[in-house]
Amino acid sequence: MLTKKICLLGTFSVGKTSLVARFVQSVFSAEYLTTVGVKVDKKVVKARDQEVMLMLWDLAGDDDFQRLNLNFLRGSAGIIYVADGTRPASLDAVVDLRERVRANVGELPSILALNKADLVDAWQVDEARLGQLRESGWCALKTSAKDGLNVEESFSELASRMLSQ
Amino acid sequence: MEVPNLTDVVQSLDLAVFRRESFGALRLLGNPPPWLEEVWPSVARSGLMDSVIEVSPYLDNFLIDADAHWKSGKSHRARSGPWVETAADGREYNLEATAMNVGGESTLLVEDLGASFEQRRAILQTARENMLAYEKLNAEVQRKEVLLHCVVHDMCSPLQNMMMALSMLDSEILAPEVRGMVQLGLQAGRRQESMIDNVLHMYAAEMRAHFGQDNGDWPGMDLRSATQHTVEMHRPLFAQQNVTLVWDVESAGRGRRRLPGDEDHYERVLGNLLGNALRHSPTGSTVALRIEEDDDWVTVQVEDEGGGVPPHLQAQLFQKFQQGAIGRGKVGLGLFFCRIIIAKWGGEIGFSPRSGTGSCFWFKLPKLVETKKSSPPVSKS
Repeated sequence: MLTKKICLLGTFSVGKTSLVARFVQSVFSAEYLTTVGVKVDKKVVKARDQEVMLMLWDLAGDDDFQRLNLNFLRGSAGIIYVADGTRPASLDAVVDLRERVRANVGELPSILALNKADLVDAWQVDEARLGQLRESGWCALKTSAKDGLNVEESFSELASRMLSQ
Repeated sequence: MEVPNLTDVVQSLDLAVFRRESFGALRLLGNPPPWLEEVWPSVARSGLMDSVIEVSPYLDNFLIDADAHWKSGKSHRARSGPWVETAADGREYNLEATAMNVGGESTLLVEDLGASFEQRRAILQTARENMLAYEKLNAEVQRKEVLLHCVVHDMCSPLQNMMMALSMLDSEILAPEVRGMVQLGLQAGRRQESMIDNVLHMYAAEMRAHFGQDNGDWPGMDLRSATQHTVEMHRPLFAQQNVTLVWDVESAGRGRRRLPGDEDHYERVLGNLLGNALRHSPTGSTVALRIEEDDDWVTVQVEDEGGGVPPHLQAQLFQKFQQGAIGRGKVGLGLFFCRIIIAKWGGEIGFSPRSGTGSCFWFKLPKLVETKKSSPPVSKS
């Protein structure tokens, strides 16, 4: 079976681990437990009429306390950038992160998951900003690890993009 | 005394020790630690990890760095950083691998980090929770400031109507005592307008400071003209209170300077300092304005002969809503406004007590130099 490595990148507390937990185990915990280091999970999906084993590398949040080790991206076929839609700074951070990734490993198929879409009252990324992101080449989806919104779709879309490469 | 066997030492440290074989597999040396039997039971049984990527993709990725390290022959160690492996029963183990050259062998130690990992995570967790709390608090402060801005802005319209009505009354033929009251109303209205203006300017400056709307491509300033303009604006007020304003116009030099900022905000900052000095100056005293410059900085000083700033207020002088010793200030935003403007321009603002009596408020701005034609100017210092 075809195997593809996907890395989840973003600053801390944006929901990278929660997205993987929702996608792989269909569970969600509201408790914030910061990730230290890396956890690798696997899930088989069907994309473009074939089964693909996704190796999901959940990397610790990139911030001043822990910098992303770009060696972890070796062999990646795609990236899911994750931002918290209630914290605009996390979106700015992920935009910068993409530039660092591009400079080091080149262009890879990617998806931007604007997570925590269930927190409607606290949501801070308006449609205009989303439009700007899409115009500048991002494939951006509003996601919610809590209620599952666009979680399967994000991984499937990325799998499909990786296979079409 | 009996020398302990190396395998026994390794065993007591709860480490799994592997040797990198020439055909790429990892061979377990000595007995497997208990955790290895939980995490990688087949490796613990066979003593061999021949397809590393199937056992642990993370370790397989690290072996690329480890191989480079082993080949280099360096004596120090290369660490993998922590990662998580899940045992068959769902229990998670936090592991870290270390590559080292031992007696010419490519050796890999894998350790269950256990309690030390949890300690590390707890520290990081606390730091990040604090950052989240700070971000939340900041967002709340901004939300309230926007609300305050809207409220203050809304106060303008009825005030303008009142001012218009009073101005129309003032142009009519009125009894002297009625005119006195109308003019009192107009005076109070102007003071109110000035306070609202101050709050709105402070808000705009703070938003710029927070969200960085200045692009740093400053056009430069005519220091002499901007200072002269501010001084002329304030002279009537000084004369009214019988306070002498002294300024040596030649000290400002001539022509445009490569300074950060713009003349409008420079005049507001200087105006604030002059206004403060006047408010705290006794009748018949002098306020001196000085401009000094060296190779890197332009310093503007405003000295008064007032009562000075009590020591307990000095530390908070440039914070919001500080109104001075006896509440002679307006809404206490003037110096705060000055601080955020000057800080935004890469300068400094401060206060120094004068020997004898009075205060000296100063600010300094860095002189800019051109780097390249295509680049924006950068600070010299």
